[in-house]
Amino acid sequence: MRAVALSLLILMLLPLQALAHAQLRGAEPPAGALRATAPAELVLSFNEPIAPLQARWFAPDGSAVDVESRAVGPDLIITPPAALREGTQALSWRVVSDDGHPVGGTHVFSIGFHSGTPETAAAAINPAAGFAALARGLLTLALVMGVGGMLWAELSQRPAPSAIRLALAAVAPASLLLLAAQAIDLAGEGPGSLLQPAVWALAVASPFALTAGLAMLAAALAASGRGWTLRVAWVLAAASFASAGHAARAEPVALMAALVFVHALALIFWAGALPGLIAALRAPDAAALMVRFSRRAVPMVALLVLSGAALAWRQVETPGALWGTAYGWVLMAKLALVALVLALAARHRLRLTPALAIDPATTRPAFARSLRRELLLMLAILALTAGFRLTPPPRAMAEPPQTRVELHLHGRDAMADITLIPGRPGQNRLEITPLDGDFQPFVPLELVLFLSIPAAGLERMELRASPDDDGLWHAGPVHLPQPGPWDVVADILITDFRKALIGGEFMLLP
Amino acid sequence: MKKTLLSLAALALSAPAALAHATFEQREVIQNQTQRMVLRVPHGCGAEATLRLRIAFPDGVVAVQPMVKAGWELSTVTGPLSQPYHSHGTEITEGVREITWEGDLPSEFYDEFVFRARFTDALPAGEMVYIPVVQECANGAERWIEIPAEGQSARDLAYPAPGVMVNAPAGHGHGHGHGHGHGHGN
Repeated sequence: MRAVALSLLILMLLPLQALAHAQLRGAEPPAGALRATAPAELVLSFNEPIAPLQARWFAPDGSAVDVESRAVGPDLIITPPAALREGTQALSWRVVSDDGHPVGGTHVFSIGFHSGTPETAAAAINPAAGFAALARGLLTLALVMGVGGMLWAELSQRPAPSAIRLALAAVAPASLLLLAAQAIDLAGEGPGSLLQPAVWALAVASPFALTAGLAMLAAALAASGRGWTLRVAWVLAAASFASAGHAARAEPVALMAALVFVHALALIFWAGALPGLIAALRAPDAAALMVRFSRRAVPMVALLVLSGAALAWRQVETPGALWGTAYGWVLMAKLALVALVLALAARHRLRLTPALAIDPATTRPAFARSLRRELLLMLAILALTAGFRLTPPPRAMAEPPQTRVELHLHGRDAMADITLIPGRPGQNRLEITPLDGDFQPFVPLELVLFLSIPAAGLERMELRASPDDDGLWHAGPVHLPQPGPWDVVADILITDFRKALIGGEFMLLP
Repeated sequence: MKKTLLSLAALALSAPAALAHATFEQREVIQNQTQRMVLRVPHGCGAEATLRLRIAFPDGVVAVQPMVKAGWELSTVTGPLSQPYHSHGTEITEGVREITWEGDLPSEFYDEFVFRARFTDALPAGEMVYIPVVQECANGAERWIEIPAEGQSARDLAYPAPGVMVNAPAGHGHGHGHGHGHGHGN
């Protein structure tokens, strides 16, 4: 009661002056920023002196705590909660300015990484993913030819061709390139983001750090090129392939990763030996070397084909997906090339190797030509395999159906159909169809959405939507911290002098 | 407790918030009389200066005449009136629907914009009439165009259109009497 009386008193005493609302001018960290570590304080800067009313911190898991806030002139200074989890943070603030008008809002930024991206399985081929696939391809080529080439050099007791040495030296740069590509892809902010340590921290925390680390270790060990060290390098290189990627991450992971490991072991041996074999054709004991290679290669090829078949079967699931999806097309192209390579290999084993022993002089040029073809095909297969990076396997696409939450906002002068994708806590994007009072689509001048959870003390987030060519308006991605009922208000500018403010509620799925 | 007090204080403090908006000096107008109206503009768009001030008139507000303003270029948009009215025996079917002043008003300064208009009895007595105003700046606009829905007041809105109460002439319930159809202050 005393409080009410006091408020009334304040009301009466207030000088009748013309003053403006407080407006948020900037923040540190800025809205949407990604920081490696939690800031000691969060500063919101307004256009005029303010007094804090409330500050509530929403952690990445949606839990909320009230936090300390103080005003220094036009700045609101907030102390983050002590134990801050990594991910996207949302701070709901409410301040009052000199004119007495309380103003509120929600400020969102991320620590370590951006929580839950809206479309994980989307097949969008963006430049960053293309760059990552290119880096993956380079690393595959360098690692397979480098380590495999050194392995065959030792088995054949001949010096490794200079191309092999070159490939080995390229492993470390290619590994770093893969990490950089991965960092850009994860941060989703373009190559400029590489200047931020936090973005590198993202890449180092991803499975590709293991891929790159194992690859570089394998290359370093293989460079010494002797005995057990070389065999360990072979195993590490194969482990590098099994450490990340679609194929190695399918359920059951232990079995799938093991299959990728075996597949890579066999591949490294076979493909890596080819340059050495071409060089060895001129040697007097070429026929004996070919026989030695064949004896070892036959079980390797069997392993390669069997493990490859099992992996492909798991990824594609149904025969229809072979021609129904981009992944299926890449796979079929790869299988066609594999069939050609196998045919060439069989010809080398069954026809040319015996012929080389009988008539080296006439067989040698044909054998060299054929081996070069085999090598080229092998390189093409490796390059194509990196293309899998760009295409989600049918297995992944079949997994979670994309969820969405839909609502209709009703008004006399304007309405809106709104879809939230995926309609769960975390990053969401919104699609809005503006309608006039007769449910007919129309083009507003501006469309702004305000989202809030009044019950949880989450002040409104302002989301400006923009139209695409089809008249559908898009907003977000926006980080929504909590499931449950949300308030939404659409501010639709119909003409310069007319607008519609229409409100409603939606349930965010758990 | 402290928080409750604070929020109550905030609630109370929010009452005169209308003063932060673009408003009319006049609180009320009389039906069928020509009135001088003063629009008060307390700030620009954020920190930006106001470069254009536009007013659009709803049906029932007729015979609009903006006052010239030193340093500002004045223009009007005319159009058909949805409810023609009579002046000196002539039916008037067209009139000013919009006024635009173009000039420069820095955000930290205050200014007033004046016009005359007649509020016909098509506007019901005892109800507010809202006249939307747009301040245009170099990179944006402040649109005082929100009109309270039923059960709402201008105080519930972030950008309410300035409004005045329409009253019947004193002693008359139906808008007869002085100045019927004539500019009272001519």
